[in-house]
Amino acid sequence: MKKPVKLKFGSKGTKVKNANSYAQKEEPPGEEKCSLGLSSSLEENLGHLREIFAKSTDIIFRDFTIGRWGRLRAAVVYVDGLINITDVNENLLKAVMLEMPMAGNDQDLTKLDVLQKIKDSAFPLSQVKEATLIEQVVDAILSGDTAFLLDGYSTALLVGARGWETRSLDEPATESVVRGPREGFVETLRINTSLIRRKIKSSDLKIEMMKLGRATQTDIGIAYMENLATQELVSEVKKRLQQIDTDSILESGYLEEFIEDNPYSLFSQVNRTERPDKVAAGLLEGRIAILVDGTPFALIVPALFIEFLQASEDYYERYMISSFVRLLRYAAFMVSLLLPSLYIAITTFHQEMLPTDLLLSIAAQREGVPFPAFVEALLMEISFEALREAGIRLPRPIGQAVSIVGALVIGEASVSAGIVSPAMVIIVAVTGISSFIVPNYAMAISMRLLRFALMILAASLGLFGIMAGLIAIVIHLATLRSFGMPYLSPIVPTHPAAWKDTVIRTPWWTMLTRPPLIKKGNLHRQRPYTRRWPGQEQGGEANGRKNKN
Amino acid sequence: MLEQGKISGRQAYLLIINVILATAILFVPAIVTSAAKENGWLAAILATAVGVVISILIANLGLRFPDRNLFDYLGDIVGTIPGKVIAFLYIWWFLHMNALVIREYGSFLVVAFLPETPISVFNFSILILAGWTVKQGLEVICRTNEIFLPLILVGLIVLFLLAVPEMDFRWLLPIMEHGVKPIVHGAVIPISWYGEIATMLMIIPFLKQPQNFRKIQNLAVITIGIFFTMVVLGTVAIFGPELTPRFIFPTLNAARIVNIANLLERLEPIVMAIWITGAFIKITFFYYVAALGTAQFLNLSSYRPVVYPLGIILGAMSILIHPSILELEHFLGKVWPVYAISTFEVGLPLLLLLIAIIRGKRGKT
Amino acid sequence: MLGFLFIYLAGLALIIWLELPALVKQKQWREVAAFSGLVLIGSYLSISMILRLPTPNPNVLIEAIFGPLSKMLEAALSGG
Repeated sequence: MKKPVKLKFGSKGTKVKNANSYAQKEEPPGEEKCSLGLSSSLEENLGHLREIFAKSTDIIFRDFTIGRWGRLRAAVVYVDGLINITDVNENLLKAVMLEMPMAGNDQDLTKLDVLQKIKDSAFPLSQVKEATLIEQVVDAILSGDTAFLLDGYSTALLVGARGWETRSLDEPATESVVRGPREGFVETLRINTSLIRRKIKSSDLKIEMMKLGRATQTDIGIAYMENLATQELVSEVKKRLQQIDTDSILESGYLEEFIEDNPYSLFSQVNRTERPDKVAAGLLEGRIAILVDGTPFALIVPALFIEFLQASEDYYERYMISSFVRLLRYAAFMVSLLLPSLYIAITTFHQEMLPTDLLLSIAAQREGVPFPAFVEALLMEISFEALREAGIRLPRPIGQAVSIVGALVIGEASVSAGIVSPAMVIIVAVTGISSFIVPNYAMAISMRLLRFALMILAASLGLFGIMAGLIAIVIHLATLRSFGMPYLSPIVPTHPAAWKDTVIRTPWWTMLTRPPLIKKGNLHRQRPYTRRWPGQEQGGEANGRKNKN
Repeated sequence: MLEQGKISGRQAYLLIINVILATAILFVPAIVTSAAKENGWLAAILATAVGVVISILIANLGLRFPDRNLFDYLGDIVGTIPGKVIAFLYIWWFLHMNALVIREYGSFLVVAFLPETPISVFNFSILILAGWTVKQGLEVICRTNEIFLPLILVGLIVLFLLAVPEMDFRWLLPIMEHGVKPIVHGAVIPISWYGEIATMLMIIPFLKQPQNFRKIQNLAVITIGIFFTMVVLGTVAIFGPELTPRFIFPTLNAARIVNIANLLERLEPIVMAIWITGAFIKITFFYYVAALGTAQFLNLSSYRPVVYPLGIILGAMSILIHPSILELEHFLGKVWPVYAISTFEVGLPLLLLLIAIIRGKRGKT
Repeated sequence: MLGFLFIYLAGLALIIWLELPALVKQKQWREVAAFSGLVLIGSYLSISMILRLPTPNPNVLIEAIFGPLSKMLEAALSGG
């Protein structure tokens, strides 16, 4: 028996260039991985693996013999719980232990390249890869593959018989719709890519894979339409992802912070969604989706400011209703950003702006209140934020109880105790409801923080302070870029062609072109005469003519 | 070039409008009617006509060197040393003009809205914001303007329409009772405002298509003229030719008077919003031009290091240069127009253009 | 008054802290000189503003040159 080679992770072994795509990533200094080749002795290989997986009780080693007389020794190694046990038993073990010997005799086994034969004709499984390095074998086992090792061969077969517990497809909790598909992403990357593939059945849909995170080895999928997304954008995204060098990627939020253009901004420059239809829509506009294994949240880049105020349902509901809802949303956005600070500014500095009756009524209400308007507003806004946070983290039934207690009991009691004025309660309630209308959680959060900043400005400088704050916000937005795209486009820099889908949404049959922001040749989404059938001649003709020019 | 950004024709158009219109719109009725009385609107039209002439002059000078800005070709036209002197004078003018605008800005806010706050609070807070914006570059200034200016213009139109019920157009008669002289007199100050387009000489090469600049500028001047005439007509029709010149900010008073069915009243926040945003962008633009000019004057590799120091100077100047608002009024009304028009707005550009033509200096076209 | 002076100095320190280290690190001495020169001018103006010291006002010069011109123009336009 050969002496097993002492093997240590982290020792500086000879570094062999690995053919796998993710291995092209530069290794962090001082943590060079062991990339030892497999030896031809099964004993030795298993020894290495046992040493690497020492104290990992979830790794299963199963060694056995092949052939009628048990001449060939073999082993499978896998992680318990990550494999489909039926597949491994029926299609792997049974195939080589029982069915192989029946197909031929032992003579064959010694003469032929047995491993090749096994690979070619024994496993009734579709995913079989070869590996020659221990590192590859270890990675594959940890990702859920089953390693098949054969004595006398320095090549291992990695059999894809993965299978683990997953959540079933659910309606996305954060983006529910009245009309639209009710399936959301789950925590498994493969299922998520299949959901996208089911929406876009085109060979132009590319999904490239990479692994990130030294410890977590998280699979990342970069999806894009080859005919729509520009090459520069794709390579920019890849470049930014490849430069990430960290221990762990547990959620797409990690990536978001690593690849954002301006990490110091309050505004999210990357869109996130749980909805496959939203990802598909993004891809078809030439954007890029980044899917992360282990989370249902996919990232879409580039993201524009205006998109954070749009919901995917806008495109499914009738366009008039959608347009109305969008206008309502913009109004709500402004209200929830500005209402408390306007109240503070007007009641503190500019009372003359209120109609006299209203002013008197507010003054009467505020008579017993011991605080200035700013403190009153701050008190109420903070307790409202606290209530909301409490409601989110608690189990749903209790969460509702908290909201009821908070909103009704505390609100009512603080008014009758004379701590806050009824007008303030109305302001806070309206602000709260308006902020729920903003469909994107990231935008809602930035808005909540900005609201406090504006309240402070209003309390110190009145309307001038609010205006100065708004100007500062707009300037900041005008400087932001998301993967090279101006964040405020298509508002500024102005692209009137894209306005059909900005403030309002025009009917689908008028949106003949894709958003021109993401430039690449084929801009046309549909033919201009979509609606030409008897009785619709006119509209169709007009559209057709317009497009010819 | 110290500025990498490029601006589109639309952005340049909106920028010119804002630079001239934003502050002037509040004063223009009082200024033109003080001399021209009920014919103030004719003075506004006359000033616009002269503005077009200035605009043509500026465009002719600027487009002789479409790929360089004023400070770049000054030396070529008149020689290095005189070029530096003229450049220094222009930097002074940019700063001086801006200090006056900042002073007006603060005064308006104090007088009209927050009488108990010291003016330096407004001056310095707006300068901090402006300095930060200038550092972001011309593109950001233009994009910000592209958002705010359409809102400002819509606000003005809405205000005008809401005020129509208060108007009595008989105030505008008789036409030209005292001949042409009062009208010319009323037009002098607005002409000096139009002359502020001379600042565009600094940014012509940053346009995506400089060759369109002539058209853009003329169009902008005419747009401004339409708004000036509209506001003058409106305020005079509301207050009459005797009362209008007595207000400092007649447009603000016009907004105060609007009352639609006791429901829509007290619209002065609109005016205030127009003023705060419009004047802010104007201040930022002049600030930018001054910073760019200083950096070119000193041959720096970037204008960003001088932005904040210039802000300190601007802030101090805005307070120091006039001890009181009365003196500011006097200076702006009596000295400034002649000073600005005769040297920086028409005099020097005309001189430079003539020398350039005589010496046959011309940039790449 | 001292309060304003303190605020001014704090602001100045902030500006210097924001700008100068990067310039020095990139060895852009020309920019450093321009920055310092302008800061000195600005400080002179601001401190004399805060302490209400007398400062030369260029407006006097401008008015001396252009005032008469302006008066002539005015006389020509208002007569008649």
